[in-house]
Amino acid sequence: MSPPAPLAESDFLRLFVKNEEALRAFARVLLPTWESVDEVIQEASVVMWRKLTQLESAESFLPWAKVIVRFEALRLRRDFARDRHVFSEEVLELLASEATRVEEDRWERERDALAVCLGQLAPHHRELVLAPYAGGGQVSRIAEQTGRSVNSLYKLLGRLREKLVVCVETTLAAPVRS
Amino acid sequence: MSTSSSSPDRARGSVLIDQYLMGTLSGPECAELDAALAASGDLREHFRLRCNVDAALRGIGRRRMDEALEPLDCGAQALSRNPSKLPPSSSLGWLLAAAACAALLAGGWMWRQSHQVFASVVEAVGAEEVGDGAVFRGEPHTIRAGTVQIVSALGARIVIEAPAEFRFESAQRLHLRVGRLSADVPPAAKGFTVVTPSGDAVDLGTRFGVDVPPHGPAEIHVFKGEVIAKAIGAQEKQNLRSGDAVRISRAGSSARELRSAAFIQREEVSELGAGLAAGQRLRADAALETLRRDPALIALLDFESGAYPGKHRMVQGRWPKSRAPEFCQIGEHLSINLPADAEWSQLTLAAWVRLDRVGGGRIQSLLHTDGWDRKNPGQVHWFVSPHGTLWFVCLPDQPKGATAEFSPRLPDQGRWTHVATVYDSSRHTLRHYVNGRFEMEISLMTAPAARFGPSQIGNWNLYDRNLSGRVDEMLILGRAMGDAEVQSLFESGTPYGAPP
Repeated sequence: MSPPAPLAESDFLRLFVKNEEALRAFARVLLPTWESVDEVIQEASVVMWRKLTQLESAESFLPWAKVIVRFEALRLRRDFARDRHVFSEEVLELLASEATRVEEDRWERERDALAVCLGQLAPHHRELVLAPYAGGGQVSRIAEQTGRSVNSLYKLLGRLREKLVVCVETTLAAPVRS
Repeated sequence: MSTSSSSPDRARGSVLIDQYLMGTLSGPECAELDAALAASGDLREHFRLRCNVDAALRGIGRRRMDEALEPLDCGAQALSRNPSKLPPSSSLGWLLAAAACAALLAGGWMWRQSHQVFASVVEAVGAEEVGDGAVFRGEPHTIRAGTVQIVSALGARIVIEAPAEFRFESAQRLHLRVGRLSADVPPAAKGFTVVTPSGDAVDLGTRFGVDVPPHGPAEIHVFKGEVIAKAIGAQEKQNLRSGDAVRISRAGSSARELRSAAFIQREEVSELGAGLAAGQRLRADAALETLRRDPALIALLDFESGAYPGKHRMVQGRWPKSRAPEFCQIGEHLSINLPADAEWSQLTLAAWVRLDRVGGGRIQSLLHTDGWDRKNPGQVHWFVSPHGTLWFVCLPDQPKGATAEFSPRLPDQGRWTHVATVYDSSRHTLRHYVNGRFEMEISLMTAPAARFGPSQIGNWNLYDRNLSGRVDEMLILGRAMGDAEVQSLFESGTPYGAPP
């Protein structure tokens, strides 16, 4: 049996794009801010590119890439070490190990369910839920437009985020409909 | 499995996790969360889930931003390291830009994270290919029967009627190769675009319909709000407002009449689903079988098989997989040959219709005999009047006293409606029914026996009597049905049920 052919550049691009959100979700478990997640994913992609010859097959891309992301995240964590808003090394190790063991299908079904749950929110609630991800000051802009205080909007945002999480859990617990 | 608030510790943990993810956690609270996570595997799993949800929300939010930006330029600039030319959500810099352009040039769109869910099925009625809760990513779909109501990740509600071929390019771009859809787009999804082979419809916060026939250009109909129509190859965009309709093609766009009944709107889907679930299709089939054995039957057209002469488009009828002729353009009709050598002192005419408009100053033919002439008395014309009322004429042999009589105005809605008229020449009466309900009786001065022969549905051979809409099932019975029988005919044939 001949060894598998090395992956081409186009294969890597395809695999990375396909799995980028999964890698971001995994990195989010390990890192305190989205900025740090973006930085780690950027660094990790360079490492993956360099080490591409080590990858045995397309099927093993995600576990392989997660190892690299985990390493890069823990490396970056040292820069945050004095920040009070960072978990202890013990907790991060637990989070990383346990998150690695969760099957990718589960992660994916959770994100699918979230998209469905989001579509069921009232339009103005959906707008508010997505506002924090649309660049700085978006929640403040909504506050200006609606005449509500930023504080009250953040409270509402918290309730809506909780509602979405409950919806995702309920959706995943429900029997599969075909 | 709603466990988020099942215990005080868990509830407190959930709040802390969300604050952590939102970046509003204080130092002491972070230490508290750290301790709680160290102590509880359940909470760590919940933390992971919330991180995943956070990632999914961010992904959707970022893609919305991407879509609001200029499309990728596949020229030399994009292949440079100019970061302003890259999708903001990408991490791979110029490599990803090159890949994206390569994919786009190859006619693909897979680069845009095709594993993402762009929309999901809220309700599927008789559509075997997709079920409730099914999700759409970037893959193409075909539905051969039924109706599907879909909600996009940004809340656009879309109803697609079979037969249809479509795929979501993103939550904001839906390619419709063939089929019909209606879209109800909230402000959050403003900019939602339907891409057809002949052009695009870009929503500006509205309700609109798009019809892409198997052959020929697409049509855009705006029920409420505003839509931008852009034909492929056209320089100009066209702003459409409430009540506007347009046919878009490379050769240029042309205004159309609004066809409200051509599109199933989302409110109707649940009622169609409830009707199907309640076994209405079986009841309707059983009722048709009974009618076929009626000794007085002149014709029962269900349009389910065979080809009918005339110019019309066969589309979906009241049931998934059923057929109904649709008429739209002037001159479109369906020809039938009814017995010419018999006379009928009693008649019952009944049909399921779905009209684009009621009234509007023109006559819409339900059934017109071709041999209309004073020398040929008893010829039957049954139609919707310019005032939106049901008319029946049985031609007498005298110049005066034509029995053109009408019902109250038909329901002004683009839905399936049952209409029936019972003519009794011996009693000199005409009785009209709408949706099974007796509406009015008219006493006639003259009432010749009815006669048929070659006839048209949807138009007339002498003058334009252009019906705009669909006709599903037409019953021509040589006896007078009673009120209860007409009511039963409606109840057994209605496609609607009461939604749960």
